[in-house]
Amino acid sequence: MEATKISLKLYARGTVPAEGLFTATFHDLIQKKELSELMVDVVDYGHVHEGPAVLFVGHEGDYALDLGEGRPGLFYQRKRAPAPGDGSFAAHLRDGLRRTLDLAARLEREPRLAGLTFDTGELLVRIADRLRAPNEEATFTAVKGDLESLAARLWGDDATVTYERGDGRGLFAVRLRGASGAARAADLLARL
Amino acid sequence: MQRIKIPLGKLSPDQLDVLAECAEEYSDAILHVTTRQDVQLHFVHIEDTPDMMRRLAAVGVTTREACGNSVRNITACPYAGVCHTEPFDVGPYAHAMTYFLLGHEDTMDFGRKVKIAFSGCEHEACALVAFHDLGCIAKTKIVDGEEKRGFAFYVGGGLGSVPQQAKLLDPFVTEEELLPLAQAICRVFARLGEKENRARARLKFLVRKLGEEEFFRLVREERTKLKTDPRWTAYLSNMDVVAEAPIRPVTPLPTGPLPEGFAAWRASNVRAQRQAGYFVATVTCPLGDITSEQARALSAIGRRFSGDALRATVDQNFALRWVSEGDLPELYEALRAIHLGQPGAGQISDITACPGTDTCKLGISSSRGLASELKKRLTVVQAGGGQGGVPAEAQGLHIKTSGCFNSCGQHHVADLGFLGVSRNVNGRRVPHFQFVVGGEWENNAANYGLAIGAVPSKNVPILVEQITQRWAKERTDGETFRAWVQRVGKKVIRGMVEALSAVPAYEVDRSFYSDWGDPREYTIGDMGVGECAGEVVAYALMQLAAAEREVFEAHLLLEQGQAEAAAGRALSAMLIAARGLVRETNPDIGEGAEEIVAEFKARLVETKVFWDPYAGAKFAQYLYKAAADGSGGLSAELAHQRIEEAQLFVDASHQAYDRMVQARPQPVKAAPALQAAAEE
Repeated sequence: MEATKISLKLYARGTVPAEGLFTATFHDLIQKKELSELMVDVVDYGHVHEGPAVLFVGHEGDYALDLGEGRPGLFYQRKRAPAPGDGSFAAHLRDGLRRTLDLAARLEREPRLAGLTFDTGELLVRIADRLRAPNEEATFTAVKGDLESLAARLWGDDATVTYERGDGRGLFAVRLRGASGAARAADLLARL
Repeated sequence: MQRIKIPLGKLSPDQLDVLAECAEEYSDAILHVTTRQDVQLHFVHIEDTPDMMRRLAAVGVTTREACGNSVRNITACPYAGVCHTEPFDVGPYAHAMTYFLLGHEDTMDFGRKVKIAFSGCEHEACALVAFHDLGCIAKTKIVDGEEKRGFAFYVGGGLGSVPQQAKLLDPFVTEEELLPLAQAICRVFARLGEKENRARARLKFLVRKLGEEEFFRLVREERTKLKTDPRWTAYLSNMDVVAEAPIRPVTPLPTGPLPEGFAAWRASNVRAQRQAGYFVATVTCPLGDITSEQARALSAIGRRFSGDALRATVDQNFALRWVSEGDLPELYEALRAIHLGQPGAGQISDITACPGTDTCKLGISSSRGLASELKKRLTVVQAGGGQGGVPAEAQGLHIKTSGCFNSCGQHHVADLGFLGVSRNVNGRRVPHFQFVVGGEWENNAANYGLAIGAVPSKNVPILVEQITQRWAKERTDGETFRAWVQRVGKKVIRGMVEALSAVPAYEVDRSFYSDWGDPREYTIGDMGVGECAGEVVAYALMQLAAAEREVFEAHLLLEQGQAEAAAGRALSAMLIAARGLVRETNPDIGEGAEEIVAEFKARLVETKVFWDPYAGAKFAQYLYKAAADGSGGLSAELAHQRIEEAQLFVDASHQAYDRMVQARPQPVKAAPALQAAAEE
């Protein structure tokens, strides 16, 4: 499996601060060049129902305060594989998660977003590439090992990996869960 | 940004599914419906576009000539074929013209884009023919006792910084002559249209430059030279090309209780078709945006209720046609389940906005930010009928916002139009919007509004509230907003604008110094490549556009009998243009008239950059004289003269700017081998 367009969602616990505060925070991150990747813009999609309310656009990947499924969370979608990489799904998955957790940790530390914390016991993994990763059982079979390995690394043996096919028209999606979530995103990042 | 052509706005559920997939895999999972019935996807990597184009092509969708100096997406009334008042369905004709001109060699050498629209009815808003380069309104005529189909054919309309109403080229062009006439116009435009100065390259400028009669003569002459093309009439034997058929039988509205909110939704979003028992339901997309999840759900809803009959509309919504009356409550519930069942389609809360500063680098102010804020406040009207500060009577008004003077948000044809500008307040930039009134959406956009003054962005919602309240209070029976504006006079409206024009000091209220939806301190430092033009627009060109608006303001003041003020604005227009040019070589130029005139003379006139090959420094003299004379005591006649001079001066400034650009050293092109290596 060579799919690189991995998307991840880390759900927020409880309510999240106002969208405008995320906009300001993301702009700060661009201006101060705090991330290791090139970020270019922030877009307000707050008027759209259960969409990427505040989109944080990058060259290699986008982040968002995402309201999909009616559950706010930090969303990441890799658009480009940063070079160099070993090209494997596992490597891209791990790198994508490292970036997501790194930003989540920064947001948890951000004073203007006081109170924001993420649920470190659940993760939605999707692959935005229907050609390489069609939404079907065969794809799950192909990536299951990598996902289980990652889940075990994060949460130990009690982790679960569940394929969520939906109506078949959406992206290939898998939900990872673990009972032994970490206190903060930074702690989960440390386990990676 | 990838703009995707949807001719006539017609797309099938399968096509919508693929658009949703593309949005999800290559973009940001948002589909944006444009005012040209296109769909746009943003933040797409150029490397992904070949894959995306192949996927779109597989379902019969093209992106070809959706941008650039080409014939853009041809729009048509979303009710074509089901409308009560149209003489016939314009769909097959719009379809034929789309594919006749797509990739046609006579459309390959334009200096600028060409927009074409088809409308079934003269008196509806329909396809807004008046501001199109080519506009066709369906007509019939009895010839030898037989009804013939044809079109009233208009040319040379356009919005932009200086809008122009399209001119009637021919009151009745037969269906056989439709395509060759369009081809002849394309050839004349390609041959004689401006190529270097993009700000003057639209067809409307050519029509103005040549004069209507001469332009029309050239077109007719060109028509006689064309070699006969079988495609001109071949389509007439395939008029079912856009035909649709209902998939559900006509059933009456169910008896018993209807869903909550259904009545309001039906009142604003549902319209009876000509075909008894069938309806068109409009799906309101907030600011033209829907998520890929919503798009997939919408395609499923389309398959269930209306079959192959979805249309993107120029109001940035979707329309579902051929919905049986009995299905309307179920359709409403299905739309509500995906949060697309909001009422208010085509009403005050259904605001049209260009991308503005969100994604277009020409944007000066956040048109979408403003629209989003207004929508939030105005939605209260829909729910409560008169709450939220805006009266219930205002529901039928249109608001349109553009981030800059290029009018992508079509602010000229709204009841309440807004275009983004910036103002310098004590050394800080403050986002503002010019308030445009007097526009008319109906009658195919028959009248353009004029800017009557700028208010800080943060005061726009208050202005909307105050002015709609006043209209509701003062209007006579059935008096439209436009008619009321004309009756009370623009001076009164301007007074309301001026009362809201003050900007508090930065230390007192910093919120005025940031734009809607963007908490950063406002700047226009990141302007550059625009979505509408697809080219870099230099600061000087922005200033020339500002100068043209200033000339319009002078016109307005003269209409109001304020000759001195009008003359002052005309002088101001010349100073803005002159300063814009001077700043190309002197970035530190101040704003004082004396300094601008002196610098202008030294840097542009004495160097013969601002120099007409025939008239020499004639136009520069207009500025010198006006600056020396001032505006005090000028009569209406002299003020009128100065306005004319100001327009000539601005026009000459465009020419001078061209010369400045041409005089710049051109970048050295790398040898092909080096170029290829660099690209690798």
